Amino acid sequence: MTTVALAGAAVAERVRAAFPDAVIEVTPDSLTVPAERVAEVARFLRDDPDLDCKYLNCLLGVDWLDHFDVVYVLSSLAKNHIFVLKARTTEHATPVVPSVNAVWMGANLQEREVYDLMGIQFSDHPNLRRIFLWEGFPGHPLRKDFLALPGGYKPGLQRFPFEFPEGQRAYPEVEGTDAPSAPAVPRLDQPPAASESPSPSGRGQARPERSRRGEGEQA
Amino acid sequence: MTELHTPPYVVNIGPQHPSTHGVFRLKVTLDGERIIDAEMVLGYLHRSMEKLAEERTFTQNIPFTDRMDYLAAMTGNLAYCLAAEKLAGIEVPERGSYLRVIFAELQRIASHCMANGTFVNDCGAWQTPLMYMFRDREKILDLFEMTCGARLTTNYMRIGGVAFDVPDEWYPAIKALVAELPDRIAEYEELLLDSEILLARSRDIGVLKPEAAINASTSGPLLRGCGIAWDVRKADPYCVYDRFDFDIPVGHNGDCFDRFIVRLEEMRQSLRIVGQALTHLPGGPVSTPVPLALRPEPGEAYARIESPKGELGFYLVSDGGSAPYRWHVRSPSYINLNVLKDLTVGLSIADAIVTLGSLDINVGEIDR
Repeated sequence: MTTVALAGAAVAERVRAAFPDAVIEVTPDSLTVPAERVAEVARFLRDDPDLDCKYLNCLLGVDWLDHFDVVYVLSSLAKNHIFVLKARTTEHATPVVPSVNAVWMGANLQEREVYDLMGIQFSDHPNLRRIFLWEGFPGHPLRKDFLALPGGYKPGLQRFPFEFPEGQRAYPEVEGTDAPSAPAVPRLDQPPAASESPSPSGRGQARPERSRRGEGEQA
Repeated sequence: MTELHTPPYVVNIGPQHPSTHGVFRLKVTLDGERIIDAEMVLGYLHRSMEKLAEERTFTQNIPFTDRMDYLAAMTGNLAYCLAAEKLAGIEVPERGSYLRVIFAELQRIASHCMANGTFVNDCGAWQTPLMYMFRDREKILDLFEMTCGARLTTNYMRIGGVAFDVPDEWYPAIKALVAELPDRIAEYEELLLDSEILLARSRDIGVLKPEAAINASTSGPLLRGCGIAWDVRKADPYCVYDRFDFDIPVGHNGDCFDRFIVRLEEMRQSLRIVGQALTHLPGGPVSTPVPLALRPEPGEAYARIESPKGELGFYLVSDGGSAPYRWHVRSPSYINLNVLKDLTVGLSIADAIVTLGSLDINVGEIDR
């Protein structure tokens, strides 16, 4: 006996029957709905006798640079099947997703984690506060633009460093040198005042002449 | 009889307290001796592994999984490697899968020794059962050391198999252990099951109802303790678990005592699995060669295993690069804490500590 992964198309058909305009993307094993519809779709998936998604395995956010996906891995213990539901936000700066805490209590701590580390607001969550980091921590670390490298470099390791010939960098640029640089300072909940004195360490600040990592070693 | 009330006052249990099993803080509000509100404060051990993992290759991320649940490093390794293999479509040789099963089950016994030992310690059976159980755990850790050189942070599994084959002196040692442990478990049952210290402190304390357990996404002994026979090894077999014969122990009342009993019985079932795996252990290679800079096709994969604490899952997203685009851990210790407030409100502090002990949390895995 193994767990069956429900086909996205089959679930999409049932969801469309209940909410005609709620499905925006279907893949072989997942279904994407707009963020604002996710709570009602989630309740439908839980209460439908055939889908029976009474167990929320895991909940996470994925940063796609221009929007977020909140991924819900759902399963039925009675029918032993598993399914992935995704809620897609329309924007990146202050995304809001309805909380599914009233549908699955198991979402409570996981939504707080996503809020803390990724900065997605869950409306109607009973206790939406930071959980691993302290209140007032600047920014949300799991966002891809948190502490981005200066000069418009993309965070993350795109290639393995030793594969590059000498002199080439492992961190590729996003779109040429003239591209606007990614925010080098973590996003603050309150924008800093214009007349603010320079930070004592200077770490993470955008430098005026945009000196790049690794240039010193090559000279 | 009228009940007397006192002004509410707050007591901090932790972050440095022996009953919290790590740096975990529980802020309880009391009315007299009764808990009227409980709030947990986490993050003392947060190391931001999910962010760090996005800057490292798939193979470089394996040591992180040791340091999540440091009492069950083997199962952490296993869950991550299974997810990476699912993402990249890698097959594991037969012998590698058998060795994974053997080490994961040994790790389960070691972790349950720790869980049950510290649980009865919390109940008031001070140190004696704990030290007996540590004796057995030591022997299991010796087997790990023999194989991969480390006792706690093993870093033994690899994407595509395991790192090393077992040495020759490992076989007599594990055979002796498998022969010896059933007697030890019987000894614990004799020592503890009639013990007034354990029964009076854990029966009907922290009762969890099955519907609430499912709705709160609990897993592992916490879910099985309230009578739901759900075990990922049976329901969704990974490695070669479908070839072994074993039972899923379940409780009846969902109280702290049932969780203890379930763990004790699971140790015995794990021994059955290890015994069968040793009998049928095939020859051949232990791992498939995998490129150091593994680049899975863009895609997403969720793989889960039954770790000693519950369902441990990894959700990986690849964008075709050498490092995962997103590396998410479904950590059972963390998600099991969803029910902590409901379980502890209404109890006294002493009972709340027993309830917390019965959840078997590991703060390394909660905070990551």
